[in-house]
Amino acid sequence: MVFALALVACENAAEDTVEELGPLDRTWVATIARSPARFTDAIADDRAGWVMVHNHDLVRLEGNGSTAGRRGAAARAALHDDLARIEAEAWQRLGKRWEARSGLPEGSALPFFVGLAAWDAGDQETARGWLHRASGADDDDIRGAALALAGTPPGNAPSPDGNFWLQRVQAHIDGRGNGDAGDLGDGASSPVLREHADGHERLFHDPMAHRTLATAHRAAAGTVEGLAAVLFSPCPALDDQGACDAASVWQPLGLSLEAGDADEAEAARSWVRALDAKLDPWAKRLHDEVSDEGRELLLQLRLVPGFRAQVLLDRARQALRAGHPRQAQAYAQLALDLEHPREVSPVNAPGLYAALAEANLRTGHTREALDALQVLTDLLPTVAGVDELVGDLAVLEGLDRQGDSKEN
Amino acid sequence: MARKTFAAAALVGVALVALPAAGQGLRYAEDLAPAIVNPLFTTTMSEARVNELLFSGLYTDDQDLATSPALVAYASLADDQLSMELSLKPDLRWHDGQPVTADDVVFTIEAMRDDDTLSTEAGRVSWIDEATAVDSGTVRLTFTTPQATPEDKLYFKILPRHAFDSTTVSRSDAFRTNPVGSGPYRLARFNDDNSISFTPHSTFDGGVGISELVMREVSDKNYQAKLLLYESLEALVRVLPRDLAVLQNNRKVELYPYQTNSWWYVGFNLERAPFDDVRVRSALSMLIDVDALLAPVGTGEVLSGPFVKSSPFYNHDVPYDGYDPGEASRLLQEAGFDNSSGAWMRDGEALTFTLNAHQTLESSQEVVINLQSQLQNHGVEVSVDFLDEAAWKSRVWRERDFDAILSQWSFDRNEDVREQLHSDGLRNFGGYESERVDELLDTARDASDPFAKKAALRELHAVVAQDQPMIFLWTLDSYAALSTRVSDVVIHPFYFFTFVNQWRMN
Amino acid sequence: MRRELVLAVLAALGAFVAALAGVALLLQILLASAPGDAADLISDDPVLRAALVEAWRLDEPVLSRWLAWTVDAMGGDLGESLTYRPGQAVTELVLPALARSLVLVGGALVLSLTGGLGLAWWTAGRRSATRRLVQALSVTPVFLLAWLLMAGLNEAAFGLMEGGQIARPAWFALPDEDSWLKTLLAISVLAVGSSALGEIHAALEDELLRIQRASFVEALRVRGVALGPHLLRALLAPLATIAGGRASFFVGGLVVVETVLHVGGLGSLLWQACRLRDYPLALGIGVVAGALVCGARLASDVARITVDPRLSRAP
Repeated sequence: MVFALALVACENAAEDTVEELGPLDRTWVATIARSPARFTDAIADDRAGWVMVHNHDLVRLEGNGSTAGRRGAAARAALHDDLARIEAEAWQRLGKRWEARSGLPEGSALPFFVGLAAWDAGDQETARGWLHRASGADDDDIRGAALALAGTPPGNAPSPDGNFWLQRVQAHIDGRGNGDAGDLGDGASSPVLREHADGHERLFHDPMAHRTLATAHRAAAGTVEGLAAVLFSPCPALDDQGACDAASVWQPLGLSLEAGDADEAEAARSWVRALDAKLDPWAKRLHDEVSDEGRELLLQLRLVPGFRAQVLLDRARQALRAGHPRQAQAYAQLALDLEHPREVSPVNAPGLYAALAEANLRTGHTREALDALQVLTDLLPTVAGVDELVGDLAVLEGLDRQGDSKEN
Repeated sequence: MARKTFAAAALVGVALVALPAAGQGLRYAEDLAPAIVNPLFTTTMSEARVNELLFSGLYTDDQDLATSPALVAYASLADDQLSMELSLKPDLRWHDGQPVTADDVVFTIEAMRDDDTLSTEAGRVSWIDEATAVDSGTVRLTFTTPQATPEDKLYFKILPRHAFDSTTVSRSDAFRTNPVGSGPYRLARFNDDNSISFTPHSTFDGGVGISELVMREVSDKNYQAKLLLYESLEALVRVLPRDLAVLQNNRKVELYPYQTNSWWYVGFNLERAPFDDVRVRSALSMLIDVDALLAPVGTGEVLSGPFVKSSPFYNHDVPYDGYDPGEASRLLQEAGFDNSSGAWMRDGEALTFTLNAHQTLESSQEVVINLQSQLQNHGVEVSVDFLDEAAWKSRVWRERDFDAILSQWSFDRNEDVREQLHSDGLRNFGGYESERVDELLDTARDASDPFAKKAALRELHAVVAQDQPMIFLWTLDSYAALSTRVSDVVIHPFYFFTFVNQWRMN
Repeated sequence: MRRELVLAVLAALGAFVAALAGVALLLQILLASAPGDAADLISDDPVLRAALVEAWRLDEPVLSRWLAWTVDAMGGDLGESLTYRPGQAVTELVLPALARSLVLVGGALVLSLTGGLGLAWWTAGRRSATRRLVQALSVTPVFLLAWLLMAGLNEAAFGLMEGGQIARPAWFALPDEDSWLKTLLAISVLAVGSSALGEIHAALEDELLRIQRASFVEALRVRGVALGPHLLRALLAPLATIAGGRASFFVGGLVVVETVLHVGGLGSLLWQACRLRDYPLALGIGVVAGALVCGARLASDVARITVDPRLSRAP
């Protein structure tokens, strides 16, 4: 009898009215759920490619010139931008920490790479400081390149004059100009310098590689219009001119588009709760109202969870750009599908792990950043260099601490 | 409608007689209530978490996990790095209103070092030569060897001198039931149901957000998640992997990563035949389908060495051998075993062993039974013995009286495996000895170049994987869960409650 | 006569004390034979462990430890807890637990006896589905019965709360909060489960049938006298016997019921004490529980003799 009682259906608490949730009906999720034919038309040119877009299978999309391929290229560009930011931050932290702890290793190319990373990130002042420290490097080309770059504004290539490193910088700038990374991306997966020290090697990867890869993929992405531009994206809807129109969907629902002034994780959590309070009843209603085919789309493609994750990823990136890593951390953590937390999936986009890694790095959780980067390393070989760099930083930060371990 | 009316009527008597519960503070669950509340005698994580509520150290982690002053206002380190002076913050108070002074710091260090105190924390101050109170607010520490960053080691909790008769502190001292600390919470009472209630320390520096904390003992981990869903708890420190999906979909609960760099393993006793033969150990590892073992437990990653995959020390060039019964058979035959009877035999004796597992290791029963079944299908007889805490400590830690064990290690962010793998390691239960591994661990310990430490430990991974003193199984995804009524939550990756004073209840 | 009575009382007391000492010795032996000891739970440091072993006399022979404990216990000192609540007097831990357990045992006795009597009255001499139902329900092990009832009540209440039908009851969720419902549940489970109610029902049914066939009942029936009060009176002695036997059964069931339902009584305390190798606490509980059982038997004997003095002269 008690089980029968337990099975008594519960009435939901007071629901939002149809009118209040109306803006959500403008989203691409609602559009294709209500009109599956439009979805079929949108993906008709490359169905297999769109499956890859949905699954965030960015590697297999490479070189695909269809609309789906271009969407994949745009996602790759965004991911490489994320990785470039992570790398720049990690280089600075590594250099500062190492110098503060025990002074920079004598004759090492380390300050050159730290300086080059800052230079390529556009921070000339920081770059100059590090590049001057590289004047003590053992390698002639390193010293020469450091001297030349210290006097060159970021983005401009000093004359190589046979200097290996300046030639490489020149190649990056050329590649960014013509949208072709060539084999410069290898510098992200394999070390460009192996420096011999007392019985071990220091491996340095190319700090410029990810920005070049981002530019190349952005060139390949071009412009996509119409429904194909927003499918599986955080952009909820398009305006009449075909531009992303997030304001008309979120603002009527009381959801701010701004990052806020303070880096408060709780603000991000409140935002997500407010989003879920709208999305949950709307998704249920949508599920009840659409046709069988639309329902199939909703369930099989996990449209609502995937959309939610993309929206939160977008918020995370916005927070990072605004210098709010704790907010970004909260958004990314709440976006993650914990049924498969270590897998890229329709819900867990690669960018989500990059956002988690960057947020953790910027909040001092270097070791936790590696958990996120590990997922990306399995996906893309070019992440290896960033992973090694952040790993070096994590090891450096722990050198003076007493370790602790517990059973169970 | 009729059903609902009936159901409501059926329980209306209960509901009417029992008044609705009043609003409560934050209730969190522990598998086992702490036996003692005194930082000098901490042995379990449950006790460590309570210490975090009640006591403060000289230094602590800030939210960026950087060392930051807690009781200290400022400090100066001598140029020779052999001494430092610490000035305490003014107006600090103990829970009983007495001022926190330099004498308390000196007393704590002396009590930790007092041989008759038998403190489990004595090792934390072995590097301090002397502690003296310069004045009521200033402490001078001198060190046995130069210390570049001594503040990184001054996290231990400070005790009030006035609460003890001498530096010889006994576990049965009255302090255990009436602890006095300077942390954000004070212990209000031990309740009859083994729960403990905490109330805010009124003069805690920075204030305290939640008006009451209650530690509840809920030994059934399966039931902890249920209680969270029922809103009978507001926090779970560690969620079982199989509960993650359910809790994630509940909008009244939020999950926070609480990765503890932990990995499961089957450890062999290398001082017993046939486990002294690496061919036998390797063969057994190849007879186990680790992916199949992991599947019912939860989500995680299979490993090939003594680090989690995301660790900078993990050697990705060392593959997980995988399930390979053919190769296993070859190795066993090479080791002199024969399987013509359907069971592996050597010199008339069957290949058989007892696998011990800790009773409280979550999901251990499933793993052990599946593992037993897998090996028996391949002609290896395995008997199983589940041990409680005392038996485990005795048989495994002290007497090393076992064939094989199933267990798990958790590491803080430094992932120091020295105690587990060095031939002198106190936690090297299996008696593993490798000169090369000892050298690599020494190199790692003494390294001042992160590249050197990384290289040494990656080579260690390769050597250990080759020697196979244990079968490395997996690392699991680990999360804490809190009610959405708790806001401004930041969790310390090891001690959990370090930033609890900032949490708020809605 | 008086001398005989005094001797009988002294003999009974002596047997009582001997029984308790025997319980203590048996427990000592069992605890000592379990792998690991209290010192193992404190530290793996050999120096620290050696000091604890010496301080707690863990290296002494079992008999020696038992003798020392018995002498102290006879002086009212049951020692201090080693690992459960280090330093706290065992009596301080055991007495409150005893009070909670007495409520459960006493309640279970009352419930099972009155329930069994009522059922026996209903089913005696009839073909009844009720008998089979009671047997089927009662055969459920106490842990399973407790868990099912607890889970069922929680889920039902939670469903109604989520639906807005009821406010959150103070007892929710079981067994987390102490409440009258939890106590009632524990009493009911003890009284019914593991064949307790079934056996009492069957025993009383047999007794009732036997009494109904007695000649004095036939005589009463012929005279048209109401049989009820007389039958009840005749059942008092068997009831007392059953109560005495069942008490020990219920005391034994406390370990499971109190652990599942999170009642801080003797049973759950004994479980913790054994798990934590807290020898003084375990011994204290064992002795108190033994005293409880012996006391129940004694009370049962006294009640039987009071109701039917002829039983005092039984061989």
